[in-house]
Amino acid sequence: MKTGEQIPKLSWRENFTAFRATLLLFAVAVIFSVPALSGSGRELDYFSNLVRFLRQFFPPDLSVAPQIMSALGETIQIAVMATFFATLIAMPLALAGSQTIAPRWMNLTTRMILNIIRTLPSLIWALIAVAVVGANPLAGVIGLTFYSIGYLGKFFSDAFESIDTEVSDGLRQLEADRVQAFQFGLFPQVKPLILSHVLWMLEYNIRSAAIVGYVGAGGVGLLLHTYQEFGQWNKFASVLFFILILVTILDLFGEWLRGKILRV
Amino acid sequence: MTKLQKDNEKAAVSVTGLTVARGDRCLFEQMTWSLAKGNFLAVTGPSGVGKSSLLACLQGMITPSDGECHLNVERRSLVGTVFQHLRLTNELSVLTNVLCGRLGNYGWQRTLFGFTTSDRLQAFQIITELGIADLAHKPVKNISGGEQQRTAIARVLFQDPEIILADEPTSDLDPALSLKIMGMLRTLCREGEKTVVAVMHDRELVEEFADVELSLMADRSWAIRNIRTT
Repeated sequence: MKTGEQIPKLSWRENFTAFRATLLLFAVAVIFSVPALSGSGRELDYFSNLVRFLRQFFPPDLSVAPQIMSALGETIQIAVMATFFATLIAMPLALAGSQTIAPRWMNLTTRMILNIIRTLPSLIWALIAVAVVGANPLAGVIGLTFYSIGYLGKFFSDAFESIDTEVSDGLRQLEADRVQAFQFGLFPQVKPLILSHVLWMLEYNIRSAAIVGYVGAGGVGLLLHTYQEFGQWNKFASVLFFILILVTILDLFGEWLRGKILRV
Repeated sequence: MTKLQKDNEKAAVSVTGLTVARGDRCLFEQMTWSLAKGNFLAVTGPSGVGKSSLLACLQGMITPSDGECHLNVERRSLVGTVFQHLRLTNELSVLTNVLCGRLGNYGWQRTLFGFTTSDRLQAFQIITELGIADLAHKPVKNISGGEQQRTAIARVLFQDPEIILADEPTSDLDPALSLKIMGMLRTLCREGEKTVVAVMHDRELVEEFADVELSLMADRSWAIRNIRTT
């Protein structure tokens, strides 16, 4: 470098990168959101409130374990059925929503339907289902099925779009029909991804099924709702304890199985 | 355009006034030749002169700037291809990939639950001949490049087409295997009346197995040479 030569300076526009612009926007959003911290305005001792509330949880009343186990069984059944139906329905929707497989107009229509389905949270779907079929596990199955279709449909169609179509094009050159090109060219490539997504959805649905019970859609959520209504917090704590164990087992098992599936 | 039409009076493969360009660059122009049934044509030339493009054009996968190709067959499934990138389904077994060679012969209802025992036996016989019988149930992604190439060749042999288009079919094989595969293709031409068009680099293999050589040159010119009279 020659003596006296200076490093050229960047203009403020070149310095104002997308990352910095996002940070700035977020900072402005945080400032405008400060009123959300105002609370009720009353002088409350939040910490002692929390301690008093949590003290009622202990010791958890494990005498209700048989009821909890039975309700957890129902929760798992709801989640399994919802995942099963959602997978069956999401598969053709995903094919229609994939740009590499279906025509453009069909992609747009299907993707819009999937977006609309995803807009509603599982609790709202469960509420609708309870209004239609009453407060029972079927409502949970219906509610979670709809919710899962939105997600699985998107995941599956993204999977179909991510794969190499050269293989199925090669099979089409052999005069394989569309079903054969899908069965022997496309599906084997996405199978591990699809299985992994289904497993994730099942895990998610088991967690969700515990919540949708709160609005009457069966399962362990119904038990949570009952104990809360009657202020039986030590029994409520037992339910949470069992859910924690189930979710931990599910997480560990799911992670292990997904690893196996994706490595095959 | 590539036309598929059965005409006993015509050659198995013919190319008339064919001009192919890749982007702005013309690869070759006004190419005209024909290949009689039962002959083996080797397409040779340095890299980038359009050998694979010529094959893609014959397959009907790219549209030429001018001229046409004619394959003397009734339907597309009577044209077999060994692609340069093989186009095997990596997640499926060697045997299933080979069986896929005949998908065009059956409707999806027939293959939805698998292939017939006689097809499976026949496919297994071919992979045994090619020395990959012990890999029959292995997913293609777990075998070597040379074994994958033999799987692709086995698929074409099982397909039993009238015309075989092969893009460097022995590029990943050792000399002994290359000789064996070329010998099989040669026998198919001589005894099975198949017609082969293969992109090849190995001069010795060209001289030993091909009937006709089509040389493509870097200056867009081309030349046909009869190696042996059949």
